[in-house]
Amino acid sequence: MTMVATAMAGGSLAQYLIISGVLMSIGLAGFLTRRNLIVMFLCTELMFQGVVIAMVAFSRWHWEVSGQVFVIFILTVAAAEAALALALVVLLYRRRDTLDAEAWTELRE
Amino acid sequence: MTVSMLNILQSAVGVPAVPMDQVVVATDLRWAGIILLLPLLSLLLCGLCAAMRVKSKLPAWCTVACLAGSFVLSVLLYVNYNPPGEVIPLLSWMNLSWGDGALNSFSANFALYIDSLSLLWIMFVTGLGTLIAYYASEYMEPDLGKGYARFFAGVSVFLFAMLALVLSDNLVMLYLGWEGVGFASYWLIGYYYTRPAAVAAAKKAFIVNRIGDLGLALAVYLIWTTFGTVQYDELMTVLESHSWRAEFEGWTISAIPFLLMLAAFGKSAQLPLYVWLPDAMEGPTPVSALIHAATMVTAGIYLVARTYPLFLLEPVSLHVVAWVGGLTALLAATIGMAQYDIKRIMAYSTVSQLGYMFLGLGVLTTYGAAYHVFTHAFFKAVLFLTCGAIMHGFAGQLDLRKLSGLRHMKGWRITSWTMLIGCLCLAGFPLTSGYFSKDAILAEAFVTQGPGFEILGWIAILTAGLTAYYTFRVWFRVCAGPVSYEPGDELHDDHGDHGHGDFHPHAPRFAINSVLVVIAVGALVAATPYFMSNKADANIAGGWVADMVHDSTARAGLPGLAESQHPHSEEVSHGAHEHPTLFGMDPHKAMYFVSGAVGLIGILLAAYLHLWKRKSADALRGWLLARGWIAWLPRAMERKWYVDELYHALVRAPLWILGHICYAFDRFIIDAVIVDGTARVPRLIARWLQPLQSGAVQSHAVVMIGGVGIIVLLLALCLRFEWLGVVL
Amino acid sequence: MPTILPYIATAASAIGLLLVLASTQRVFRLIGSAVGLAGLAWLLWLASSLGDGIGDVATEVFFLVFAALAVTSAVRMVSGVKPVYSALFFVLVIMAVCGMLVVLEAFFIAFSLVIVYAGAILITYMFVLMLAQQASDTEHESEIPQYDRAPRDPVSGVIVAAIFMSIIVTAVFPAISQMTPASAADRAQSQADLLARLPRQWASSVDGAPEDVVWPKTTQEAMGAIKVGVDGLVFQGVTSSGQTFNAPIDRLPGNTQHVGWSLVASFPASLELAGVILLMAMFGAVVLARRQVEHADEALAASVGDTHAGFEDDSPEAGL
Repeated sequence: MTMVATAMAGGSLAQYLIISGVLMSIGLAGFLTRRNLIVMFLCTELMFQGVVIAMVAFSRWHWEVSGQVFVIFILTVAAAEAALALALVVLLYRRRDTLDAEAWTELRE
Repeated sequence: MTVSMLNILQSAVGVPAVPMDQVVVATDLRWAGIILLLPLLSLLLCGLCAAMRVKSKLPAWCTVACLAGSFVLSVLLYVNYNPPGEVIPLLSWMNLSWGDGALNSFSANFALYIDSLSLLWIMFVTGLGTLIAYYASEYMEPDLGKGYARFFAGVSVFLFAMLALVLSDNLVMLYLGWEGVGFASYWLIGYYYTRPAAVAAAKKAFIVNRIGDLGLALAVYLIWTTFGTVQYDELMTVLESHSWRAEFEGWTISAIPFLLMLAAFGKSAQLPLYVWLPDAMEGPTPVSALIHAATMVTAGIYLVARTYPLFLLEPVSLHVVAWVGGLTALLAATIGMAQYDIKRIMAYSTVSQLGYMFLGLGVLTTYGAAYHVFTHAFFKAVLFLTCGAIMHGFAGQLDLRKLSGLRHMKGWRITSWTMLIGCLCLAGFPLTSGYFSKDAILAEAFVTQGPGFEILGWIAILTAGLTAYYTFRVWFRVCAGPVSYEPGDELHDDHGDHGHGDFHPHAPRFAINSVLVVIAVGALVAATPYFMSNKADANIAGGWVADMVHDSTARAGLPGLAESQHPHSEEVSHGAHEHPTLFGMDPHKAMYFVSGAVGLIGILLAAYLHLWKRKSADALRGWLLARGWIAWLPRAMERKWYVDELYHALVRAPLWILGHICYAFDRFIIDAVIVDGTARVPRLIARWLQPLQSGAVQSHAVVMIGGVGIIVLLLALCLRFEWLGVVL
Repeated sequence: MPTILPYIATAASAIGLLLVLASTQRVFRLIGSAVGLAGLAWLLWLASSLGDGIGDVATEVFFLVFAALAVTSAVRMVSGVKPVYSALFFVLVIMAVCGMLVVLEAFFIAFSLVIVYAGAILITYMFVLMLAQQASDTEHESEIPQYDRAPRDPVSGVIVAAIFMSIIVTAVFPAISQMTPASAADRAQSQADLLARLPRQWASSVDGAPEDVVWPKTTQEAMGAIKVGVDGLVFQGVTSSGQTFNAPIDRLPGNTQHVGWSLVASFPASLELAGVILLMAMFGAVVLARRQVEHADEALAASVGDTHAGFEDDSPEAGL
């Protein structure tokens, strides 16, 4: 390992942040437009990926490992969320026999 | 030929009309306030009677007693009053001051202004009021227990307002009384409120009077801004000292008399505002006699006489008053000739006679006008009361074609003869009171120099002839000739069981007859004041009545005044140096013969057409209608010269259209666009936003994240580019 | 650089995404992909010109490849009509992201992502997909449910995403130029601090230490013993005989050690909480999944019941 200060390997921090934001935004767009409940939750996982990239890029930029540690917590929460969300999806599916998010409009009233 | 009117005006203004510094504040006469309070007491008692559902004639007796008390006190006041005038403070009302100077204070109190003019008015108002209330106690019998108390309460209110009007010390209190009599008039015209015609007439009277009231309100305001006071004594002091000239603009001086004139024409039924008075006959006949013949309608004359010095400041205004009065007299007389309803004829006659009074004011004979007010009050009251008696007895029959020979009928003789007295007075039969009072006005029209005043004089003489004709047309038709009658359509229960054929007219009893006799005698006796010498000034013609005006603000309109005040200044004199003549005689003397002759011609014509050859009247009418070139005349007269139609086209139709435009504006702009539109905006926004409330999770997420995103984005942009002064 | 350009690039990317999402025609999807990728490339180029350190060409190429792969896969994932394909493309996204993490020298995270996401979470997703999806022939477009075929209201969704991206652009572009990256000295100090806390690692880290070296016992001692030299870290040790010596530290603790130490030393409470969360999630999932749910919709329930009844009628048992 060379001691020469390389500020950032492979692209600038800004590029990483842009990619992180793009992934987040695509995930958001997917979450807002896809009607399949499972795909919606998949999109939230995609948004998590955007966050992960931002975290690790900042960690690398500051040479501070806490960012990577936080990714572990994100993983934890994502796993928990996936488990619970999928359990709920299964419940909802059993109730209506469909994965269409628009089948549940009880929020209207 | 005659002295120029301008000279007279100058002299009139230059001469202190009434030495106002002699007007004293008389606190020892405070009991005169009881004259005002008694009608109020009567109102209270009538109200109590109505509340306790009194079925007897108690309200009538209360009213008669109170009004008689007022009359007695009025006479006592006349005896006790000291010329030239007294102010009797009663109650403090408005005493405002916000600085020094003329326009920085305003003062109007409940105070009585006693001078000969107001005394003349209150005496005949209370006297006739008492008599007519007594008459009404019998006349209103059918309404016992129903509207009886309401009627007398209205009469009390009227008397109170009229006395306040006449006795007021300032124009604001006068305005109060002015509105009060208008209200009482509305109350009593609409007495039979179940009859649409009565309700419409009441509304018409009220609305037409509003136009005049507007003039009065503006005039009071302008008088205050111009002269700095609304109290008569202070106003006259200002006028004498000419202290207003330096302080105020001239246009108000010209505007004030015209505004006052508008008020007077509204209340006293002159062109073009006379239309309400004939319709006001829908009210009970005592009301017609009291309010719409004798007293209230003379309030306009009183107003002009009271503010006469203001009219003298603007000579054109008096010319207008004279011409309007003369034309009204002629027009109303021609309409009266062609009517069949005797009460309506009397109404047009009232309009006509009021025109005479204004003519008198306009040609500078205030004493003539006041005297005619005085005599007219008596003989027109008699005429109306006899009409009322007939109407009462014949179940509302007023058509002169359906009544005849009343003087041969048992119980109707007093009515017939008193009516004859009234007719003679009205027709100006020689040596009756109307003869003298009318002559005083007619002669002066020839004496005074003014634009076309001589023509006006001939118009007045022609009108006098027409008056004699239509008056005796009524009398010859109704009271003379063979006996025949048809009942009217107001069959009351007390004589309604038996049918049409069995109708028995019930003759007037004591109350009506006694009142008729008293007032008829009064109408005859009213001629005597003309011959009684006046106390103040021997040079002034007109006797006692001239004396009545002599102490008041209307003094400037007394003939012979100028030379008495300035015996040596001949160029401003009225008549001593170069008195105008008529037929080579003194106009007053000439007029005795001219008007007497004209009156006799009118009476004889009426006798021929309506007594001796009754068929010829219809034949004449048919002959006139058959000739195309003249047919419009009887038609127009019968249709009242189409004045109502004219009003309809010129006033009502535009107002109707304006009303509908306003309605449309209200309905379609204010209601539909502004109100409903405003209400619809949230609905439209809601309809636009409604899809957002779909209940679908994602649409909610779109709105929530989008909203938060926009806010954060704006905040970030503000921070980044330092928009809106936000600096990171 | 005009400040408006990144927003234009963002808008172009958004339009491309919208075309890909909303259009069913291949041509438009292609155009959308081209526009979107062009906008993204422009955005990356604009970001690269900000002037913070750019690594060597090789890592830059790797980054670009992984970035392109990640974004393309993500777009395919959200625009695809078949959920299973979406899940598979998500695996591809994970892989690309992990590639980027490797470039960023976050090895532990990269591999744990692959294991946890691609290995565990995605498998769960696939299971649920298979549980919930009707057994249908997904080869034919018409068999795919309507709700998978057409996105709902793509315009507003993409606009919201574009707003979100604009916020990030607004935050990133001015901020980066004001930030200074960690220097080599900072990095060395960070390594030194870590090493000072890991006494067991000394022996494997330091080459050329005498046999009788006295290893520092405490972190304090270790901190004093490590110096940041010109070429790297140097260990100023003492032998048992009292001689001092300098030895270069050439095998530094790896990323995994670094993360592990930080996790345990800096965030112990959070670690415990994470464990609790996972436990609770497990319980929750089990409880939820075990619950017997009736059809809330009575009509649907009735119709389902009818079909079951029909099956029972057809069954040979019913005939018996």
